[in-house]
Amino acid sequence: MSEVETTRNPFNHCVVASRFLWSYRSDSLAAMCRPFECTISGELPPCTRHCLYLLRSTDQMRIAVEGCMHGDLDNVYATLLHLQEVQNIKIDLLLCCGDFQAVRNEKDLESLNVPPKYRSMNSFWKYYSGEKVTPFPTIFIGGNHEASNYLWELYYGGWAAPQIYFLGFAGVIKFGNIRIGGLSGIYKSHHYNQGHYEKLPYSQRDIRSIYHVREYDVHKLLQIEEPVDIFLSHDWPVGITDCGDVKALLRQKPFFEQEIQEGTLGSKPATELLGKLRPSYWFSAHLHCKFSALVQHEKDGPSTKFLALDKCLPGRKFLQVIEIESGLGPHELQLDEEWLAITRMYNAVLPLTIRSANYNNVHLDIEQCHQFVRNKLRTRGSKPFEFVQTAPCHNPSQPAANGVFHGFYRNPQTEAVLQFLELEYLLNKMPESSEPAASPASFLSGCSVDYDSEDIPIDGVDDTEDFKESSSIDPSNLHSQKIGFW
Amino acid sequence: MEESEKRKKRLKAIREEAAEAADSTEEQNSIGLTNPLIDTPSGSSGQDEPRPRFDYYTDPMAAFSANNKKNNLGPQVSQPCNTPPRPMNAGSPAHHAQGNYNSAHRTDGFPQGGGAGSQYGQGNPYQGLGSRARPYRGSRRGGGQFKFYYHKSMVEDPWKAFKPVIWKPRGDTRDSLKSWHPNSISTKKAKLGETPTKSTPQQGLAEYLAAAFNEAAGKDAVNNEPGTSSFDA
Repeated sequence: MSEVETTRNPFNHCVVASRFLWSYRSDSLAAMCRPFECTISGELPPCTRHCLYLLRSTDQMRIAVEGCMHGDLDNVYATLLHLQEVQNIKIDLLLCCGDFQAVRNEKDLESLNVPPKYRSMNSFWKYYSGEKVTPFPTIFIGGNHEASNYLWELYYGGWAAPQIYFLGFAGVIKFGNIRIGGLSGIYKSHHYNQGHYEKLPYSQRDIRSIYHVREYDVHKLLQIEEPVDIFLSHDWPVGITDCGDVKALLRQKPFFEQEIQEGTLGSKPATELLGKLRPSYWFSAHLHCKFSALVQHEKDGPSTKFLALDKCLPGRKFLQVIEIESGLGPHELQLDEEWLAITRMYNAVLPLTIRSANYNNVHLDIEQCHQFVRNKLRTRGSKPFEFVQTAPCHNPSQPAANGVFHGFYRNPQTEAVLQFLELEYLLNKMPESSEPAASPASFLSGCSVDYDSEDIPIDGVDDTEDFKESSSIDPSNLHSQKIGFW
Repeated sequence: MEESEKRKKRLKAIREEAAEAADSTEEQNSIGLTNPLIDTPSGSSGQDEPRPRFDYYTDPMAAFSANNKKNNLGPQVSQPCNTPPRPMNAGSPAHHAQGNYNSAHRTDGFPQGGGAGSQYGQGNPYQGLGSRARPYRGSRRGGGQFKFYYHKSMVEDPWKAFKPVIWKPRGDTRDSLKSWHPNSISTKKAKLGETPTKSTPQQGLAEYLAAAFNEAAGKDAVNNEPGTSSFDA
């Protein structure tokens, strides 16, 4: 117990609170008092009912963080269940830092930028189909190995499967009182100032660029003013290695040396976001190793705990459990008012060509957007829109019957959020004749067509820019193996 | 005739799947471990070797599979393919597969697998699985598999040995950020440049790296150094 906490018990007016709430910090209690319009900072009103409510609601939330998922949901969930048993704890939430591989069927594999040897269904489709149910609510961002066609359906974020939530290409969501932001993809300078020009059917070039971070999405994130507790990015912020044990990192990954020295290891936009948002926690993946850093924003400023994690393999450090004070409210996902306001404000200039966004055409006022969203949320509630299956799911007993659809699905969740915000649907600017999946019935006919297995294989996609040396197989062969961050 | 064609396609698909499965297990095999969850039955179909029998003893993950045939409480999306999109009501308690977990369900609607005080790994915690469910003899065998995945550092504080370092974005990062942004917002970005970036008392990166390499050559123990990671043990 800290010195401040031991000097004065602010709860001596209430036996119940005094007995059970003494261990909580006064600033947290002040936040908890807010819904009750308690103006006594750090103290509770002499109301036993209030105190009992706090007792019920105040909790330490345990959040598990995973590095690169690579579709291996089964193993990650099983490891967490094992961890729960061994540690005798309960995990409230799982966060995944990209390369989630939300592959629903064989056709989705065609949008996945991986070497052919890794192109397999893995286990996400079981959760998408409902064959399995996730034991933990899961939130993820995209990385550089994704079913990009599916993630594009959910550009604004949404349920990729029941209880598995995609944060969007950029997004913020709340889980209980914890505010979680994220940026999908990885940074490549040559695509950064371009729009989201990739259209289905993706060319090989599109498959390797669609996950590159775009300035527009970063710009939206930079508009955030309210505190963010946790932020996720797939690649690391440039310079983060300065705030951790770089010596240990270089022992593990000696080939990072040059990039660290040149300041090119990681994402520059992520660096800018780290400096602006200053979240309490920042989690990343991509480089397949565990790396911690502790960032101090200015002298006496707030700090950010950074952690990068590995991918799920035996003996690898791909998981971390942290404890956060969760405060009031149930542990469930809620839409974020500020993020929706920002989305409403900037949607009109969403760049869907190679050209960057023209912010001169933003005519909405952020305060008005806030008020608009606030009113709408008050009416509708803040629960995310319901999950809806779009593409058919993989059927292992009939692999040849899968993946017939080649077009773009208008995901009902995306339509719902845009309708909620009274915004135009802009995502697929394709000729109408090539949009066969605008309605739920559209793939009924699609599934009746025999699946042509010759359509599955695509050319090798070893992106020399994205695929770098990695210790994925044998750390002793790091220097000789070009197998990619995957 | 048509059936013959379908059979050929199916066999071809099985062969391809088997080849993929062999590839996907390379990493596992390279470190001398096998993963029964990756070595799925389909991966060995068509091979001469008898494939391992699937059951709830060898696949602990099967314990949280929804039994959609017998349990109507599960999500109504189990039919593979050929069904129109349906709302899943992902956030509502009624949606969750309540029969799949014996552990306490919270009012917030999220199913919780095991956890503190749960019966996970003891007896038969997965009641309601229907006829597919077999008595679950604990997680000893399943846990045996996942002891290779689990590491105690996963619940340890990864920052406990660290001291905060004042954030000092690389100079070229700031400069290049300005050039990234369209002119319409460049003035706004300039405000970010005003954010003070205090210098750190650290030595230069080149010196730091050189020292690191010298030290690495000397095989010094990482964990004994101040400010280094404590979770590498």
